[in-house]
Amino acid sequence: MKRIVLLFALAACDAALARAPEGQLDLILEPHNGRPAIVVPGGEFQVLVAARADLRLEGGPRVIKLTGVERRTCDGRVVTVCTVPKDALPGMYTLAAESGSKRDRNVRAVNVVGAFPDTYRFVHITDTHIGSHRGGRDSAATFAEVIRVVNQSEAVFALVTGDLTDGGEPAQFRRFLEILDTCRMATFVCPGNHDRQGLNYERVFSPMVYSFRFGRDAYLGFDTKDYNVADELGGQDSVLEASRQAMQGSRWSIGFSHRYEPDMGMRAQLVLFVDHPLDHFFYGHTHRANLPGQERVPWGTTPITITPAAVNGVIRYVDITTQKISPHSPERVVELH
Amino acid sequence: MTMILGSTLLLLVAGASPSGQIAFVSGVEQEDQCVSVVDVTTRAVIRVGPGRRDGAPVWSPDGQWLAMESDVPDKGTAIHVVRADGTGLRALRQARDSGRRPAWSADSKHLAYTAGSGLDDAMCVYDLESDTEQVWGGEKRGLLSPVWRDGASLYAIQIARPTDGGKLRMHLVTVTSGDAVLWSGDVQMPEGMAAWGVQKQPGGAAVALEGIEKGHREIIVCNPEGRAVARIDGGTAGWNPVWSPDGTRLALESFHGGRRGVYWVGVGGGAATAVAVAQDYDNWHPTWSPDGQWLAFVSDRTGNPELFVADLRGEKVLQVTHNSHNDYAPAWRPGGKR
Repeated sequence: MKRIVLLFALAACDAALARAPEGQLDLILEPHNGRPAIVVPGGEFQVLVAARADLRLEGGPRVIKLTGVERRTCDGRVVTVCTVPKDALPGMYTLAAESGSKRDRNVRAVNVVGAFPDTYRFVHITDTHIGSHRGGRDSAATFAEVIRVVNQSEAVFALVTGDLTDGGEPAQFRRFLEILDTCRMATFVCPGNHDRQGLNYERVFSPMVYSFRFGRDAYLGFDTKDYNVADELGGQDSVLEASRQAMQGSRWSIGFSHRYEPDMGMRAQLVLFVDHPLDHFFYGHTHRANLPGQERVPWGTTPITITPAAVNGVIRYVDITTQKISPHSPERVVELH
Repeated sequence: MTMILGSTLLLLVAGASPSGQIAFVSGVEQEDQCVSVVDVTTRAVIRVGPGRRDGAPVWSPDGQWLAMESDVPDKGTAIHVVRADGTGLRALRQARDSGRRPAWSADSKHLAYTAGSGLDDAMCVYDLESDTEQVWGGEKRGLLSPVWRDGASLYAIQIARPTDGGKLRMHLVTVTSGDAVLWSGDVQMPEGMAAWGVQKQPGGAAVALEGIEKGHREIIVCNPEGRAVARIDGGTAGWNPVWSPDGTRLALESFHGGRRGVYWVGVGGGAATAVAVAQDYDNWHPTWSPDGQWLAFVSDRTGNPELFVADLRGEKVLQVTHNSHNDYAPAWRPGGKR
């Protein structure tokens, strides 16, 4: 009995080492549960740490020590290209890092998949608004139920597009993380206007703009939490252009963000919808589905899909095949009373 | 001979130091972005803008005033003007909400800007002496990014939706007080073409703009008749051309090498010279010193965007701002240090 108690105590102590106490990213900056690495056995993924660290993957009974080629960034952080062993079992892994006396763990940071299917389904969840009590119902309870339902679906990953919280408060982000970590699949998040409270979002889910590959398809998440997103001031334009260049040659290029208006940051729109048109663009913000006439981005040919709010119990599944990108109708998965 | 003289000048300037004042936007996040002015020599910074999500500052050609967009409660953005020392701050009395992208006339007495919302943007011209606003372009709407062509007309980008309901097009137009007409250039705009970054040559009549002709953006220089006289094609995206004060060079941003970097090129041709280019970080938004021997720009080499100044070979690089804020949109004050 004494030994069991000791083991639990160790586990609790270890769990406390995940992220910083307020939920901010700590030693491990990427990947994390809002921007995980998806990789096949034998494949590579990048780790960004604040200081040089010993890295390992933890999942199930096995601990996988990671090694790889390191390089230091201009601001002193360290990027390591790690290789997943060929005999690694599929599943979600925790990434652990140790640098001197500092230890950190990012749960659900690495998703090892057996192979990338040509045909698959993902789920689009948006506007969870953790911290709100709209309609007298706790939004956290609704989100938890949404995740419970999604966990039973065939979706292979989730896009969670902003207004994660209702007020961008640290406690709301912590609650969001707690529920997010009940999800069995990889979850990719981006910020919404309700998450705009100082740098609270960036501390929990940086970076604001990123792309990832799922097999032959490329996905690009970007920041529209502010109305003047990616205006002529910002560095986001660079990342968008570089990402679009890097996405060339993919089967499908799919963008996701929180919101869209035709007069938001022109440079970003030129990059995403005119110069290198995305094949599809998903967002939320409006708490409703597309209205008539909202089938495409007005600049070009990119179809748009607007998904209603998860805080109202609604999500949307999307099927991907070689022939087409097929958003389902919005689906109510939680009945609100 | 010109080339040798140019090299000699560059060598001379390598031993000199930049001076003057640079206006820029500074803030930890967008809510607190404030137009500020830094003295390049002393690095002293003063805040001069309203500090309500201020946009990129633009100097009047006489160097006396700054114009910028900034938030006004319940009106979206409005154009504001302020002196370089922070005095005289005022919002223009606009009839329409959401004033954006101010552009000074050559006599520093008028400001052109767009107002409205997106596809319904109107082109406005404000007389600062009489405090009156006029809508230019007749009934034409969807006009963006004004640039003064001469005292009586502007260049602008017009967003137009075809009558058949097809996708939006972007045209380069000339705008007068009564109409907006397609610019009769030979830089035709194919399907999906989006001209942007239009800049008129100082002391001349040429126009530099971005166009897409080979699947990526390139900088195109056109003569007043609209004939393309030079193309600056680095084989990858080229953005945001900026004329040197004497109108003989263009600074630009290019993704040659993968990351956004700052280059300049002589208008007459030749290879682009790299000023700030790196594999690990971006450099963007160049602005020329009044003597044309230095370029200020934004770089995130230290982790967050800060202002830097470099000579035209990129050999002497000075960090101008050091803070935890994000510093963007530098604009070097015309006429040197005051």
